[in-house]
Order: sequence, then structure tokens, then C-alpha cells
Amino acid sequence: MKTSINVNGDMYHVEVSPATSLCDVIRETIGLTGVKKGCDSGGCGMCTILMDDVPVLSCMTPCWKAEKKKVLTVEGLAEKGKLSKLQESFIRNLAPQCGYCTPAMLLVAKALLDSNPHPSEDEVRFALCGVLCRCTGYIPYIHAIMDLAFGSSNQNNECVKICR
Amino acid sequence: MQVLKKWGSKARIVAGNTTVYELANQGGMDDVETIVDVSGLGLNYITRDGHYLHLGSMTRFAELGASDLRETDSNFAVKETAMKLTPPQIRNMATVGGSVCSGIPFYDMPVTLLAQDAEFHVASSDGERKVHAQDFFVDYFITSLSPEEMLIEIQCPERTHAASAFVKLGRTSADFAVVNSSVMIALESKGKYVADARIALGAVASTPIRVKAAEEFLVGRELLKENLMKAASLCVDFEPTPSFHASIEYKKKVIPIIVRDALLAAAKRTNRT
Repeated sequence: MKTSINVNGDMYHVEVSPATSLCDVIRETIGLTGVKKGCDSGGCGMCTILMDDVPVLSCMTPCWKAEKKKVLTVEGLAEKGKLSKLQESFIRNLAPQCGYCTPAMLLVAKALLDSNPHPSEDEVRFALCGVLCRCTGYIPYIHAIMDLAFGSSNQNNECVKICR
Repeated sequence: MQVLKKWGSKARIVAGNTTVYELANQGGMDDVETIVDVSGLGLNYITRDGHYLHLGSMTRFAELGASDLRETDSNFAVKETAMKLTPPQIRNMATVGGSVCSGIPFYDMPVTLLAQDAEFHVASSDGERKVHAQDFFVDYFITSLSPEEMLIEIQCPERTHAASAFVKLGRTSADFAVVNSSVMIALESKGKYVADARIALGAVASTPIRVKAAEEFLVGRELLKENLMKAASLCVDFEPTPSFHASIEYKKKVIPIIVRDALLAAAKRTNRT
């Protein structure tokens, strides 16, 4: 079947089978490899994308389901070659270790902060709970998100204190 | 409906896709030639009319988790179950109807709907029928739905002087249940004695089950901690099916604990313990 999907603002017209996952199309056909294929069964969250600003698992989403929806991957976060504030915060706080889960972490963090600009630490933890970090370096990610949400005005934030 | 009639068992309904993809990965979809996406039918709604809580079968867990059910409502366990389903990505995809119709015994929502004594509205090209939760689940992956039928709506009775709770034990909070339990306790109008109790268990048999012996023990007794503990201890009068992560002995040990926690939580919500 033929379908058209909007990934990071660009339209792609692809020929797929009804069972082809969005993850495969984004990686293999479109060539955006920021989306990782981890467990391929909805357990690890590496394939997270934002579909109409909501995090979903692309390995379990058939490609045709993305028609008429806006898909965002990590490649779409930077604008005109300039990193987004969230990405800068991740770098500033040395959040990524091996980097494998970083694209998914960025996307769930973006979805969280877009809907809730000043989340509590519990809300941040819950938002990240669907992304498995193989290095188990969750704290720096929480720190980076809290840092962006509250900035330097919130040096007394409990999480920031623990992390520093 | 016409499509379902034409393709019969060669068609499979998909909604949130999460279970279907899991099945397809394991080769469980090899005989399927057509998939019918029903998520665009507008069947996602949560309404209450004073008698029933109506859930459209395509209601996503994220929508349920954000619904305005309160702890004191007799249907609160439905929201609680949705809130315990993690990760959030799955919550944004998976639907109530899908979790029920897949007939998987360790899913959370079927257990709660059994304890809520829900009614399932099923439609086909020949008309509609109602199925009680008790009769809906038949065996592993098998429900009373025929291939030509589709689940439209789930109705949970709204009861007064009643509260419910859902408790799940998994390896992690994001994993499938090792044992889960959902309970509903209704009190007689003076609020002292138990008028009706429903205790459902999941992941212990080929379908979610109710523990009649424990339910009957509670009815007519005072809502006291001792009675709830005794009822919970009556819940191991059978051989639970073992799973990869939990032996029969282990399950027998944890079932009373999970049921106890659920009963105590529900009792607390009736504002009496």
C-alpha cells in the first residue's frame, strides 16, 4: 500500500506492507537512524517518537497509522542547525553516557515540558520510566530536565541539590 | 461489520496495535490476511449517567488515567488500573477494548472489569448483544467474541456505598503482572456490614477468575480488618498456573498478600476500616 507520512515537517511518500512498522520506515527508507530499534516489542522505549506531540512506540505502530499525523524524531529537534534548549541542557548537564537512549529521552522530555513546563520530580521520573537506559544513568537526565524547567533560579531544588 | 463478515477468522481487528504487534512478532498472526483498524470510529469516550460508567472500547489508557473518577466512586479501580499501566508510551496507544478482547490472562483491565461486574456490548452485522464479564473470558486468547463480532462499549455499574481497588505485583511496575487483583466492596446502607463483595484475580489461570469462597465469606460480615485478612487467606484454594517468573508455590504465597492489600485499600475508600 502507498502512504504519505510527515516526518519532521517533510512529506515522504512510501510504499509499505500493512505490517511494516513506522520504526522500520523511518530508519530504513527515510534514513533517520536517531530512532533506535531496541527490543522491537514495546519494552524498552528506544523507538519512541512523538506523534502529534504524544510519545508513542514506533516499533508497534504500523506505518499507515501515521498518515495525516505529524511525526517528530530527534533529528527534528534542532532548528536551522541550532540545538534546542533541551538538547543544550542535556549537554550542559552531561546527561548522555553511551547515547543509545538519548534520542528517546529527549523526545519524552520534550513532550513532558511542552504539556507541563514546570513538572515535579515525580512527574519527570514518570515521563522517563518508559525509556530504558542501559547505562542506568537516569539521574543526570532528570537533572537536565529540571535544570531547563527551573533554570538557575531554582538552585535549591531538591533534585538539583542531590545531583550536584 | 460487513468487512468482518466477509473475512471471518482471516481478519483481525486492531485498535492501539500494541498486542497485535507483540503477537505478530511471535508468529501469532500468520493466518491473518486482513487487519481492520477501528480506532477512527469515535469509540473513545468516558461517560457516566448515574447508573453506569460507559467506556467506549477505543478509549485509551491515557484518557482513562486522566478521567475525573474519584477515589470514593465504586468505579475508581478502572482509573487506578489505567494509572498503573506503564510506560506512558503504551498508555498513549493501548485501548481498553484491545486489552479485553485479546483474552490475555495477565493483563490488568480484564481483572478489574470482572470485579466491576461489567457488561460488554458486542456488535456484528446481525445486531447487538450484551455479554457479562463472567461469560466473556473463555480461555487463553479466547473470548466469547466470534470473528464477525466487535466490542463496542463496556458498562460498569455505578454503586453507592461501594469502593474498589486494584493491586498488581510485577517484576517492575512497567512489566506484566505476576499476580494482580481487583476488588469491589459494597456496604449495606448503614455502612457497617458488607452487602456485596467481588474479588478477582489475574495471571493465575487461563482467564481472570473470581474467588467465590472469599466473596461469600465477606458478605454479611462487618467490615473489619480481621475479616478482610481472613477473606484474603481464603483465596489460595486452587493451583495457580505457574509462569516463567513465578512458581506455583510463589504465587500461592503472594496471592493472599495482594488480595489483602486490595481489600484494605478498598475498605479505606469506603471511609471505614
